[in-house]
Amino acid sequence: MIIRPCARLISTSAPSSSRYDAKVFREPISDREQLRKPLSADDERNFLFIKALKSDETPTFYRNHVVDKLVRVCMTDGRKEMSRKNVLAALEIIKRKQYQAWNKASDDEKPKIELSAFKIAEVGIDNCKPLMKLQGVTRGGTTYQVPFPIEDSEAEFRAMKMMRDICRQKAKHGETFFKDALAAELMLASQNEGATIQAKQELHKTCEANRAYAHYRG
Amino acid sequence: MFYSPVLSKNALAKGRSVYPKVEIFSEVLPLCGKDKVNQKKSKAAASSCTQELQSLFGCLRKYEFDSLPCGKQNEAYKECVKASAKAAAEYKETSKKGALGEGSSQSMTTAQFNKLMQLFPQPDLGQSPYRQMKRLPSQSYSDDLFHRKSMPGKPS
Repeated sequence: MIIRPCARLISTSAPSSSRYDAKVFREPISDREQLRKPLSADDERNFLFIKALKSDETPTFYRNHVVDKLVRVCMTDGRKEMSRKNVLAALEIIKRKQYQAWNKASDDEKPKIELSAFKIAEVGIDNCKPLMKLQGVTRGGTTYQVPFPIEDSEAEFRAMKMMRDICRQKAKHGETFFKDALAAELMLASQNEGATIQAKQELHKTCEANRAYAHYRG
Repeated sequence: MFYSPVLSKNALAKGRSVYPKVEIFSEVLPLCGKDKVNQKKSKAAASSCTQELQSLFGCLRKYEFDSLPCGKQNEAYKECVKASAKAAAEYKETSKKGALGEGSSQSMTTAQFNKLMQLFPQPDLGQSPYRQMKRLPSQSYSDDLFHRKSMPGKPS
């Protein structure tokens, strides 16, 4: 009988400690500016081990917070490399489409066309951020959906999650690829259109309908 | 006809005395406040930023629930939420400490009041059964000293 190595094992418990011994391992440098400078003489990293650099913390000039977060949100089963491939492919599709449009456009229209796919992704995600969230609050045996205020980072996460769910729905059963759906959705969202913007507006509508429950908050 | 309230039909009804009712004061509890106030669950003045929320929803309704034109209202609502969360945290901190002269509110919290009363208790407040029914050695058990014979419950 052949025992094949398992690609991933499901872990149901949180790690109780790091596999790096805190006594002999130190954090790596991921900042580009800092990397150019020499280490000071009393820095512990001169003589201790350095932890392995995380794959999304490599020192690159194109490091982008929104894209990194989108990669994490779109990840399934811990396959971050696969997710990054998908998201970057979507950005490439956006770039190609924008460049085609730029080529076709007349000279006075050219400066209006945004060529940076990163910029388009940022604007798109920013447009999808909801203003509040709905949270269940149980009062007197009844659970009410109460509109709650939302932190900026959570709003960003919820925008990405809505977009991811919509793209997954579109890419179900191999109808399209996830990257194509994500590219289309990001481009539409940057124009304040599309299914994710509609989902956000639906959420706002439900919050408005449930505004009478707002005093159940806290 | 001569009229007097003493001779009215009501006053002369069966079992009523024609003499005015005599009220006798009896100090059941000492006539002063206690040293302790029951502590309620300390909570800051509830501010759910209703006005800001209403204006935000008004703006959303106006623009068909699109959030982009409502940045100003959203900022105001967020600021209000932040400020009220900060005030609540501050209130909790001061009420926990029970320290005097701290916090934004002018009046004392319950904890502060209790602490002050602990330092300077009411004089001659006495102990919990304030009116002791005590019989002197010369007095008999059979005498109804405290007028409790007709009272329901256990006679003392």
